[in-house]
Amino acid sequence: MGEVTERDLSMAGVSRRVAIKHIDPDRCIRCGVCTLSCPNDVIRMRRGKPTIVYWQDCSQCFACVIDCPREAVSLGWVTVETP
Amino acid sequence: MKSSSGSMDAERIQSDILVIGGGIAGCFAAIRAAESGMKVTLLDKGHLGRSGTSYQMSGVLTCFDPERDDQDAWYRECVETGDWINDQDCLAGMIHETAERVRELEGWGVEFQKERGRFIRRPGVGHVHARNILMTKGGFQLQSALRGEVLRRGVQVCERMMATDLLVSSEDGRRIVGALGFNIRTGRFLICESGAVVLATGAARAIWTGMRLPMLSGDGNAMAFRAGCDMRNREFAGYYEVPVDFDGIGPGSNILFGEGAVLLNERGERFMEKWDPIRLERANRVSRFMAIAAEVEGGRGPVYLDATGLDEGVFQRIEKVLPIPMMCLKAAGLDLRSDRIRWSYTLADHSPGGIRANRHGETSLPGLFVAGDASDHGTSGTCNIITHGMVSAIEGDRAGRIVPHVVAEARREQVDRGMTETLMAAVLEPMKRTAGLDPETVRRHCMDIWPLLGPRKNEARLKAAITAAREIRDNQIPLLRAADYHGLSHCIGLANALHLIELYARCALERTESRGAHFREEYPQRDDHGWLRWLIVRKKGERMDEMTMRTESIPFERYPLSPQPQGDRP
Repeated sequence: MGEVTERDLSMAGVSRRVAIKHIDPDRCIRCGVCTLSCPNDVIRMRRGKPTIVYWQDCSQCFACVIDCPREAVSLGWVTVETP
Repeated sequence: MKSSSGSMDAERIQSDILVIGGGIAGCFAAIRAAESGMKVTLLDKGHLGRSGTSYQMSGVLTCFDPERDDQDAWYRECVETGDWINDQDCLAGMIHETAERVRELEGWGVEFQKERGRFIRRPGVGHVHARNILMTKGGFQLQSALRGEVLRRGVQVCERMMATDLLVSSEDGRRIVGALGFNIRTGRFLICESGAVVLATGAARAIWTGMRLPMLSGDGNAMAFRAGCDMRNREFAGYYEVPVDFDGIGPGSNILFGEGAVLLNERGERFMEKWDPIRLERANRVSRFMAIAAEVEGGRGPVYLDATGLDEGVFQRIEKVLPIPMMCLKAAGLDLRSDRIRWSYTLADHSPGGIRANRHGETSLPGLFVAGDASDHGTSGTCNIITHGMVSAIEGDRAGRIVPHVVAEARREQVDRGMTETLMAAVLEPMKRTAGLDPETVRRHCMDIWPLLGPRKNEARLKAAITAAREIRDNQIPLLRAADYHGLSHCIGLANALHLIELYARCALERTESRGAHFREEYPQRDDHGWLRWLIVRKKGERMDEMTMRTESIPFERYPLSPQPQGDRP
């Protein structure tokens, strides 16, 4: 986790939290179950592929991870620039 | 998705009973109501079985054992922990009903941790006599099972559906006869006309980080308030101790304290010794978050949860009962066995306080019922002994039993069709704007109110909080712009959650004493002579910020137990 504090991050104009991070294209079979499971509507099908659209709304419920038949979804630290 | 200004095309459903919200309360209400033979429709904003606090909760449920437990001792513990604000009409019978609900869940296949055929029982935080039992895989298993039971009974389930307005009878202007909603993916409106509505929309947790569930924006509370429903105990909205960097760990994580995890300040001191030298971290929630707040405000933060001294057997048990928090920590590269976790507190707003309900879940509006965290959880007083999940299950069950009788006896009234057109147009406003404010930006402005709403309150900070909330409501909410229907759900949800912040501050200003989680610097003592009363709030006039407040004395003359008065004499 490191010694970086929230204050350091916000001063640098970034925000960091644990959220959905990656859907592994090599493992994903495009079944779309994650788009059904996510209670926060984070994942949508785009051009036939499950796509992380609203990552900021991830509440780390892990429904996508648990329900994925191929362990293709992972959560981790996501860092973004704050407006 | 291409931006559009939205369509007023609506699907219409007719049902006997409409349940809004598919967590533990909504599912129990729908199950029970469907067993009467009536047609039940359930709306869920996400995915039934994965939505809400119920899905993310730990596996803990308080459960009474008639062979081992003393009902009177449990009862007294409930009212003393609740600082006597408990609605004892609601509490009556509830302790025994915990065992009934567990028997039912087991019958539906929910697995509990057992040893030699008996439930493994542990004291929860704040428990002296009361005991919790443990579901394996927590809310994940629970809500999956409940989804099955709801569907098996032929309940019509509409998912990704956000309810925006309660529909009022065109005949008497008061009776609730259904709800309007829209699909947050397709944008298609739904008008559901029903004999009664059960609100099970949960707490309002869409704004504050630490336990943020974006979908839980207090929609039911806001809709009910707008329709003129009474709210009660709103000043006692609950704080919750949570880790700093996560939203998914909070629900139920306080069982870590029950298992022996300790809290340390920045100096490595076990500061709970100052607050509750006997129970330490096993003190009730109010003591814990007041302690954390004091350490942080006193410059001795950050505060850490330290479970590194616990046995491997404890971690095995925690893995079963808190699967999601454990996955969360692992994703962050943390392990409770070796890492101290930065801890803080947030305004969880999931008990107590909310829509006023009697023991059957009836509200002050005919045709409107409530169960779960959207209710005022009158049973719990200022702080619950029976876990929220279990209270919500019982409230759902009770509402589901009574609603069919009410619907059977009531004349079905019509929805005003012209009114629904007006409501739909209002819902779509944020999508019609070509420029405006992004909901995430406005949410951050709402978060700036946080320092004014800490556990130690005073008049100046509360008034400043009200002013800040009003500024956002009057100047920013009307400028919200939604790029799509997902964004639209956030625009509406933000307005709903902001309203509850203002309501909370207004009620906290009104109660001039300290009790439970409600602490006023100017009135630091409990005042039973003046304040063994419930604060009831209702909208007055057209605007959400115009409200009347009244107090009701708690009818102890009817109750089994009443307190020895404490505090200042007038």
